[in-house]
Amino acid sequence: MEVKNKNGFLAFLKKFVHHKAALAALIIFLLEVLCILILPAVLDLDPNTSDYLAMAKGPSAAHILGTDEIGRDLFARILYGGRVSMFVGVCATLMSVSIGVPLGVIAGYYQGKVGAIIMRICEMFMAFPSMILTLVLITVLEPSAGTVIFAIGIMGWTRHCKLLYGSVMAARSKEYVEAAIAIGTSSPKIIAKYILPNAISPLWVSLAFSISNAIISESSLSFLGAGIKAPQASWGNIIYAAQKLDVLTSKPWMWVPAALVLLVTVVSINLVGEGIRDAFDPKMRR
Amino acid sequence: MVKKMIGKLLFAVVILFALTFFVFSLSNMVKGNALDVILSDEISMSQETYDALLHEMGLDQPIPVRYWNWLTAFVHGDMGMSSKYNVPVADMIRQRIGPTLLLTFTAMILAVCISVPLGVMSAYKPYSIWDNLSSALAFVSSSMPGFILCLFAIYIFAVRLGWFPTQGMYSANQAHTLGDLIHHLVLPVLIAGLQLVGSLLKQTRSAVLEVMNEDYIKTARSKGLAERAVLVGHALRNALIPIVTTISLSVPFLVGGSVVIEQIFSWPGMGSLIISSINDRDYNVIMAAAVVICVVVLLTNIAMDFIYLLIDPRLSKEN
Repeated sequence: MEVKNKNGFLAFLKKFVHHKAALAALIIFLLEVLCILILPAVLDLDPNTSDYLAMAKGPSAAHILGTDEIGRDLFARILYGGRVSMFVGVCATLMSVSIGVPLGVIAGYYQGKVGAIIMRICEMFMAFPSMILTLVLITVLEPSAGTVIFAIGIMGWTRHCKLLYGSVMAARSKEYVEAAIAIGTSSPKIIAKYILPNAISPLWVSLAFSISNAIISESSLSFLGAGIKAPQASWGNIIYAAQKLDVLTSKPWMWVPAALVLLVTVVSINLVGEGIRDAFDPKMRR
Repeated sequence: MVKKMIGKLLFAVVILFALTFFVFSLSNMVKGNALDVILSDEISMSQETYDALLHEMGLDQPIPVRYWNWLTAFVHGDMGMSSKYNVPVADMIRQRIGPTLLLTFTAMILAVCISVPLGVMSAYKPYSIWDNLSSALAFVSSSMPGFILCLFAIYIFAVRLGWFPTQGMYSANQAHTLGDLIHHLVLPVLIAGLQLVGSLLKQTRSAVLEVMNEDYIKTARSKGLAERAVLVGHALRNALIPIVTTISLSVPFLVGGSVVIEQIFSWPGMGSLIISSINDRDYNVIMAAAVVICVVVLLTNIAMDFIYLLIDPRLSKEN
C-alpha cells in the first residue's frame, strides 16, 4: 500500500477511521499535543518558580494539580514535561530510523557479505540489554535531552533495520526488480523507484511503537535520575518524587497525574499504531 | 550442526570483545575527563608531575595495551576498587548477582508458564475468550511502563491492602526464611514477568496459528489423535523454535526492565547497584556491573542456542 498515491491514502484513512479505538486514541493524542503546545503560553504558566507559600501542597485554586516539594506548580511542570518527553520520543525515533532504515535497505538489497555483516552487527546490538548500556552511556556523556536522544536512538535502530531487511529482501526478489536490473537501471534508482515504495509500509506501523517505546525509555531513565535532570521537567523526573515512600503513599498528587498522563500518551500512541497496522493489512489484525 | 554451534560461540566471543572494548573506552573517557579536571584545578603543574600522574593512572600506555591489561585483570576477578565504599568491586558484584538472577529467572519462568498455554489456547480458538484475554494482556504488557506498574502495585497491594512488603528482600530484624523471601519476591516477579508476557504471547499465538494449517496437523487429526495430543505433541512442538527465539531475545529486555524494578523495590541486585553507583559517580562499579550483566545475558543466549538443538529434531539430526 502506497501512501504517495492519493487514492491509496484515502482508502487507508477510511480503514483507519473504521478502527474506533484507534480513532479515539488519535483524537486524544492530538488534543494532548495541542494542550502541551498552547496551554503554557495561554495560561502564562511557569514550571520553574517556587511558590514558597505552598510547598508540597495538594490541589488548590492557585495550583490546580498542587505543587512539588519545592513549591513548583505541577500542572505547569506536566505540560512542560510533556514537551520534553514528546520531543525526545520523536527525535530518538528519527535518529533510530535514520540509522536503521538505510542499513536495513543496504543489507536487504545487496545481501551477500555486506548484508551479513550488517545483520551481525544488528544481532550484536540486540544481544545487549540496551537499558544498561543506555544508562552507562548517558552517565558518561552527562545526562541531558541531547544525550538521552542519542543513547535511545543509537540503541533503538535494530528493529527498523531488521524490518526493512525483511521487506526489502522480499521486494528484491520480485520480477519487476529483476527486469529493472536486466535493462541496466542503476541500483540507487531501483531502490528509490521500485524497492522502497513496496517495502516501506511496515515502517509506518513500527514508527508509532518506536515513539512510544522511546517515551517509555526516556521517562524510565529520568525516573531513575539518569535522564532529563531537574530543573528541566519531564514526566519521568516528576514521578521520581514517588521514590520516597511518604510521597508515594500520602502525597498522590505529586506523582499520580504525571503517571496517568504518561500512561494515556503511551496507550494512545500504541492504539494508533494498531490502527495503522490493521488499516495496512487486515490479515495482520492482532 | 556442530559447525553451527562453533560459529555461534565464536560470534559470542566477538560480541564479548566488542562489549568490553566499548565499556573500556567509556571508562577511559571518564578517566581522561578526571585528569582534565585535576589539570584545570592546578594550572601550574610541571611536566614531571603530569607524566607521573599519567603513569599512575595508567594513561601513558597505548590504548590496546591498556585494554588488554584491564581485560585480563577483569577476567581474573580484579575489577578495581569502589571509590565510594573502598572495597573491591568484585566483592560487591558477588553479593548482588544472586538476587538479580533469582528475580529475573523466576520472572522468566512465570512469563513462560502464563504466555505459552494462553498463546496456544488463543491460537487454537481464535476470537474466543482466551484470545481476547491474551490480546488484552499483551496490550497492557506492552503499554505499561514498568516503573508506573511498580508504583501502582506498591500503592495498592503493599500500602493500601498491606498484602506484600513495600521493599527489600527480607524483613528487617528477622531470620531469613524462605517464606519471607517468597513474600518479598511476589510483586517484583509479577511485574517483571508481566513485562515479558506481551511479546511472548503474540509470538506463541502466531507461531502456533501458522503451524495449525500444516499438513501434519491434519494427518495427526485424521489418524484419530486426541485434540490435546495434536495441540501439544505436534502443534506446540513445531512452534517451539520461534517461541524459544523470542524468549532468548527478551532476556536483555527483562534484565533492563529489572533495573527499574530493583530500584523501586530496593531489591539488592545488580540493577539497584548500578543506579546507586551512577548517583555516587562510582565508575569502576558501573562499568564492572554493566559488563557482568551483559556477560550473563550472553551466556543465557548461548544456553538458549543449545536448547534449540534439544527441541528441534530437524537441527539435531542434520549430522
